[in-house]
Amino acid sequence: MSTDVNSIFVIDFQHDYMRYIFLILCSALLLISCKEDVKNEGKNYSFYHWSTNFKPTNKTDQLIKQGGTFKEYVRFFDLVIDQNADKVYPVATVQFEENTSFLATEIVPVIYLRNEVFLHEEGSGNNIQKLALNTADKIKRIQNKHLTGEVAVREIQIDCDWTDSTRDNFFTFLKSLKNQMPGYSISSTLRLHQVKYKDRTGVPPVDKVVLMAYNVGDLGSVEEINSILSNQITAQYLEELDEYPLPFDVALPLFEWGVLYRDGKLKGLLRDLTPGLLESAFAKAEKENSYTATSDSYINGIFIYKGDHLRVETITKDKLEELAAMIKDAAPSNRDYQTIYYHINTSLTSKFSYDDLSSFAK
Amino acid sequence: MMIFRLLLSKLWLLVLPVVAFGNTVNNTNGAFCGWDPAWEDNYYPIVDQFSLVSPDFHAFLNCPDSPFCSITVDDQKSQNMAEWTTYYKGVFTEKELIDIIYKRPVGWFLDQEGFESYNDEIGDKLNKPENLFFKKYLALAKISQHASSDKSNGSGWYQGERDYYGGDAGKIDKRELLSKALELVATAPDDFMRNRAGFQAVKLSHYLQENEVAIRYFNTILKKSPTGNYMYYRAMEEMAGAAFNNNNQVLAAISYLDVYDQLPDRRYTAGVSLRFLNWDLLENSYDFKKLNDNNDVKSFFKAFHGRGNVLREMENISRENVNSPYLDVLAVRWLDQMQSEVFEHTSNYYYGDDEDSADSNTAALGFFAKDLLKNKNLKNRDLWTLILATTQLYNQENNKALATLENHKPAVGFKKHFKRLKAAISFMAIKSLDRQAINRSYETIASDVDLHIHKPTVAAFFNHISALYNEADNPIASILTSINYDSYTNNEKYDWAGVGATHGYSWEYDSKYHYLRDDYINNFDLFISRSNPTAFEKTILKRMKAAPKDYVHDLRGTYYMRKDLLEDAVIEFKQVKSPEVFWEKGLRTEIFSASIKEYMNVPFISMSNGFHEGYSAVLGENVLIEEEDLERENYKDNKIKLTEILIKLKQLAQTQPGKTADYYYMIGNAWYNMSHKGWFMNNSYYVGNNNRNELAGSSYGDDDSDESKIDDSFIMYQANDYFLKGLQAESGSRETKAAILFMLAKTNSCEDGRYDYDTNTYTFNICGQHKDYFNQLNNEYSDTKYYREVLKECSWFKNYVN
Repeated sequence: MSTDVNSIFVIDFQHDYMRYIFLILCSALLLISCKEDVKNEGKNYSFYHWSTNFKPTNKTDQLIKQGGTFKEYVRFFDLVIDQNADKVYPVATVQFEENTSFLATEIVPVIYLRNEVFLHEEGSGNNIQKLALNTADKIKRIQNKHLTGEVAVREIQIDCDWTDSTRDNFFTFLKSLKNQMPGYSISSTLRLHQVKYKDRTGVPPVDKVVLMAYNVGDLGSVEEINSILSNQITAQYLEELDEYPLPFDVALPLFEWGVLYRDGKLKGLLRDLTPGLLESAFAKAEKENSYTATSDSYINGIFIYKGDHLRVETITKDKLEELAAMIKDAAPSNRDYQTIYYHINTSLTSKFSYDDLSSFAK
Repeated sequence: MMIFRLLLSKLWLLVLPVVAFGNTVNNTNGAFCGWDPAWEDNYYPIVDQFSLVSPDFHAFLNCPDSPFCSITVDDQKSQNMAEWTTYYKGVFTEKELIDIIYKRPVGWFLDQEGFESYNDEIGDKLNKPENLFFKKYLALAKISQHASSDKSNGSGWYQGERDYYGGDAGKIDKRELLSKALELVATAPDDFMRNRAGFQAVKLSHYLQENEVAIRYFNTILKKSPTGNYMYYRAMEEMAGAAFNNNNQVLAAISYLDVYDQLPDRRYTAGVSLRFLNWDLLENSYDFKKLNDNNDVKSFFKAFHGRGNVLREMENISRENVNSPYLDVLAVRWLDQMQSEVFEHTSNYYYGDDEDSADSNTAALGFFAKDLLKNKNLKNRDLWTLILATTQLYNQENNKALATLENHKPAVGFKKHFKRLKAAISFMAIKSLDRQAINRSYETIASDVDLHIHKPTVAAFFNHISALYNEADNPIASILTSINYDSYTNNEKYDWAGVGATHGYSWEYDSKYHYLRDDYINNFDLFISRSNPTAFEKTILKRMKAAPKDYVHDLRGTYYMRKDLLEDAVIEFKQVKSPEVFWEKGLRTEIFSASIKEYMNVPFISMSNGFHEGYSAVLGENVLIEEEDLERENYKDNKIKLTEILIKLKQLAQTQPGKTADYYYMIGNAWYNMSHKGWFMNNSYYVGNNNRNELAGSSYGDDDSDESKIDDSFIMYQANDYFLKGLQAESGSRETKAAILFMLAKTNSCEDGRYDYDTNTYTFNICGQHKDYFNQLNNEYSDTKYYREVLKECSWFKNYVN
């Protein structure tokens, strides 16, 4: 039972006595239900699902419910260059379990295209239309097989880090995709510099953009403190957010990783770094959040050598709160936007309460 | 500033969750947007890494924006097709085999209806008894190629969509296919065909997760054959997957390493599979050490796929085989990483960044290369001399690097690389505008075809010298010296015949506005005025479309004009020999009128108060622009006329006291209209109204740089000064004075706005002299027609007085 429903009933009751009894009952019900149920009056945030296997759990369901939008951004597949075939092909197509039950009522398929796709012959010239057609067909096939009749699909989101040399091809692709999927809204991800320098980088021909407000630091530098989130840098790029000509949503970070360096150079990223794994291969170093490899080992596909340096980067409540506030300040007051957390399958979600996530969202 | 996504994309092979053992890569890099201002391949590859190693290894060289370099079709010949061609020499041609194997539909091989058009000459040949086995095998192979492991997700556009793996073929019965494969094994006419059928049997049993059986089939059916071993190793790869499933790490590892070594077209997938193995266990396994014959492959895998310590692995390889191709590939990758820093190409538009750079222990690579060059068994001495020279260059030991290259006589194929590196070392050592040194480098390049057709070398030279001119406050010579360089086209030959025809693109050069500084103009004037220009300088000057002296006079004249040094401006303008290049014949005399409204995207003439019309005798005929497509806003006024009329108005203001206010008002209007707020900024900024916003900010990526912004508020101050003179004039109608007061409010614009988020209201205040002039206009001139016009047109004023 939600508090919204209770309040409506309270207004309808006229008799003081009955009202008193009812309030007691409702309070009791609330006390009982608080553990099992969740408030959703915020209805103000969603999540990205970036894993290949779509397996809802009690935890992810709870997160969807708490977000209140019942909308989930699900990465469907990536488009990359298949080196063997010398063609643009999808990889890591999302796998829905048989008879998946969806708590979300709307799913936004997200397609990640590597920038190199638009430097390849199949992502250029007249081939772009075919690429868009194949992309649309695959999205529709997945939708028809797993989502139709279960959840709504109204929007398709395209994630690509276009550059000067790929912008024209990428924009043509977006237009072609819109032609292939006329009933859908098309959105694309947007990086901070593309807000500030929109005149030069161009504005993608889409219905909406999602501003990525993270991964702003210098990942390559061993001196970096946290490359995921650096509000000082972000602040420099938000000045012209109020002038951005398209509607936008905002993606906030909710993930952590270990960044491995050798001889001062970036060597890799370690995800799913458990405290046990950290303890077994690394010792705490002097610098904050830093560790040193104590022996040669092999972790998650990376050869680690004694002496390698690891920086654990995470998201803290105060920094995330600060970032969210900065964006709220920079956004035009008359423009509403939704907040999407990246991503739902992170252990970090347990460190943030519903109230935290809701208050950071607009 | 960082190039975030690029680094992530390069690291994808470190973070991807992979299901490799059904021969299918199924990965995501896990990266999701973020920071990536603009990443492009941004260095000059003076040494072409791709020509230093076998095409088999091209994918593993250093490509800045990708973990693997894209392979061009020409790079690799199909080993599989080569074996088929050898096997069927004299029976089927290569073209026929390509048709049979890759194009002919499976339905024809299964004798289904609807494929009669394929009953052609090739079809007849395939139906001959001696070729029937081939036909049966292909029927099986064509169906089986769509099969995938029970643990895999397929590939192509249907990747990950389980019901669609086979496309039209629908679901595939792997059990039935396996029994057909075994039938073919039993009836195969020779080892070549038995290996092909055997591969199918191993693959299908692996896909059925019958791992012991797959290993047994491999051991009992497959044989190395003198006619080719492509299928033997393809079967071995499947067997390795089965061994992994059985947790036989050693067998899986030695098999994958063998496949990696033997089949260049499977290195990508074998590398992915190898990453799944338990290397902590393998490195301590006696059996693995004893059985593995491919230590160089293992080291390469660790260094490349597992981001291991490259130098350590190179040392490991060299202990066993100094001529291993894997050692060369690692060295060439490193060479390219070094040159990506040494020959970095920084465009004005982009952030500086720290690219994936060579390891800091490059000096150690130098020692390693030196030791290797002492090894009598080393064959590829040309390559290792290049590597040594590059490490020396990287460590800023240029003379040593040159000496290393000079003291070695490379074979013919390496000569061009030596020449290019030597030339680059020489011109990169030029650190100031030493004309003779620059010219020597230019002449060296001009005289050697190996150098001047090589785009990276030519671009690196010109753009390096361009940077020197820029540092010397000569941006005009700098841009003329530069050439456009796009690394994605670096394989194209440079057209040296056109070296004097084009220069690099620059917004600054096109708009000219940025060059309105006396030091820039004087430095360029000196550059073009030399009595003895070098061949290099002549080439540069040829690139300028206008006559260089005319360009200078126009620029300097405009510089003077903007500063109200009108007589000096006229002297310069009159020296322009081809004025038609710079301005038109007429003058838009409405420039001397005013508009109540601020700039908007409509013709000024529709906003003008028409003040100039009363002075046509002084101002001369207003230009008529007949061409419909020529916007009046972008008309380039005759600068001589414009300047001379401004001089004339100043004189008249002093000699005709009765109209002093009017004349000063018109001069003030002209300056206001030519300021960054006016409609006629193209006269003073060279920037048309369509690009006026470019002036508001700094160059892209040149974040908040004060240097890129020129303080030209003086133009507005000039307008203000003349309006004040007009206001203070004893003569002048009340209408003119009212109009001047309004313009003074504009030249002293002061607004203070605040948004109240609580009440969602915007509070707006006029302040400073802006307020004073509004007050004066309101208090003293409310009886004028102009006042009423302002009240009607200017909402700020209306709000203010109300």
